[in-house]
Amino acid sequence: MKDNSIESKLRSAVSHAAPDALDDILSACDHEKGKVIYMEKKRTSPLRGFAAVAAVLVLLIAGAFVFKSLGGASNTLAAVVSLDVNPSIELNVDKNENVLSARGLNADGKTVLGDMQLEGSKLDVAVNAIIGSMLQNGYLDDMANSILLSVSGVDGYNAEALRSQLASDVNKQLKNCAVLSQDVSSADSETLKLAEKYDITVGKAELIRQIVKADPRHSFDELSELSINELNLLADGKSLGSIDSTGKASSKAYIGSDAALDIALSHAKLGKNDVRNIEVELDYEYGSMVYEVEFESGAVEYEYDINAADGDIVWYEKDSGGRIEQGGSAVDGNDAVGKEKATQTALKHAGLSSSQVTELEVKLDRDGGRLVYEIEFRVSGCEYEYEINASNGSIIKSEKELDD
Amino acid sequence: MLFMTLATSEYSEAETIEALLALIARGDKAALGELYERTHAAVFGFAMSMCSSPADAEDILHDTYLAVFSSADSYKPKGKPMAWIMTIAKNLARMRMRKARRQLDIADEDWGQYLTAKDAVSPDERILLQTAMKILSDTQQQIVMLHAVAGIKHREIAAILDMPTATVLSKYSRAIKKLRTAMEDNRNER
Repeated sequence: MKDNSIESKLRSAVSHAAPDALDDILSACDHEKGKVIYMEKKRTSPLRGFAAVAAVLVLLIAGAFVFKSLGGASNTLAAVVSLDVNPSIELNVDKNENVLSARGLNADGKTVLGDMQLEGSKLDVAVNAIIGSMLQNGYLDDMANSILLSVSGVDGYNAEALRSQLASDVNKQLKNCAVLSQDVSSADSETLKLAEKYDITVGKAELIRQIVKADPRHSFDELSELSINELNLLADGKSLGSIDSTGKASSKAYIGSDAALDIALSHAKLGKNDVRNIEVELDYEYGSMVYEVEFESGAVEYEYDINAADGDIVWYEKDSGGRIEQGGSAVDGNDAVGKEKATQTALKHAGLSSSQVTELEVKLDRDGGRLVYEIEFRVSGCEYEYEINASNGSIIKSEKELDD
Repeated sequence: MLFMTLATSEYSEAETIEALLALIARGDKAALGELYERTHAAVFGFAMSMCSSPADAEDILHDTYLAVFSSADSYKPKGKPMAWIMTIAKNLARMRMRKARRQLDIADEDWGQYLTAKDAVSPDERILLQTAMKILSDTQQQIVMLHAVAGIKHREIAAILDMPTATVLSKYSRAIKKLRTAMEDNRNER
């Protein structure tokens, strides 16, 4: 039997085994379409006067550490409002929009709340003070200007009206910020589960799900670590379901795509005119924002990940028709273990010595944000596959299979 | 209809699929149907290689086309539409499961029942698929499905699976050799 004949047999077998799911898919598409709420075009405003607004808010906060309102609070929870920047804060409010309690959901959130006594104050005053504190503490500035507001109504409370009011308030206060806002009253169980698992707000979980849905190359896991500004940058230009988006996320903290391309070209010792099919895209890899730069020269394909903040070459791959050259700081800094030791770790785990095994293959590769050694070898009818963490030598995966 | 003209002309398969994706981006469900007809066997094969049960593989197939429908507007035409679709399938499968440690017996039985129930699958084809799932490693299965069944180039597979092209090449040739030997042994035994 020839290779191509087994390949064509496989093709035919798979096509016979595949189910006919088209009708289901088409009707699910209708359902899907019905759910999508298209947003109005993003409003972009020039980033100016951020500092001035900040100053006004800081003044406002200075005199506002006690906000007790005299109006009667009903004490019954009507809505939960969460604010995410990187700090996450949750406010419980009653039907008259008085704050019943305020809680920092992470360490940064607690820093932002500090000594402020927000209980009993009006929600708009509390939100104003929180944003002021975020500015003062440097969580919001012209380099990271995105904020996520999520409102969840209890017992039929009109969360959508409150969302719209809060978003417009924040937009008025912070003219150059980017505000994402949503009503999460009917968030589905999957979103709730993810929020709990990753210890983030339901609003942030929903935002990440929408980004992953729009660009399925991302995974929820890797995005869960990002700030709202970083997420907003990745979300740029994508439909985000029912999340309302105004303003434009700031990329001022980054070197810019032109600079990233220059760094990659100069490393490859090529000029802009020597290459074609240039692509530069902001992405998230190895735990940081990177510019993904790709280009081709002759039959050679180049791929770079350039750290968006400092221009460091995190990873590169030069593919000359199957001959691969790889490197970058993700490799240099993290290959503490070395090929020899990684191989010994795998062999020791298998209870074998190098003289006993055949077809030993050791390759360095990246897996998500990690650098790993992929090690394969065989011994009398068994195939072993290992993945060893290149920075600390731990065994990530071990697989032993019988050759039939 | 536009896609009918494209399909019968001198356009390459990739260009045809890109044209379909452009129509799907505008909400064209007939184009989605055409895309499905052309590509679903390949997507299902890849799903088989990533999932331990037929039900999961069917779900991944279903969800992949829904994701294609809702995010076709984010596809940038660069001549690799199948790689884009397969990346979606891969991520959906990864989100759903880290393929459970090979529970060979259970998975084998499930797939055996599934394939036996499909009239279109001949006994020889059933044996071939079950053998492939049994003797090939997860990665080998994925590479074989992507190359032999979906017709994706090794270099693009390397990008989809995030591994060096050289690894893809060696794993592929080793997997095909292993599968061929197993099928020959199998025939000799019968």
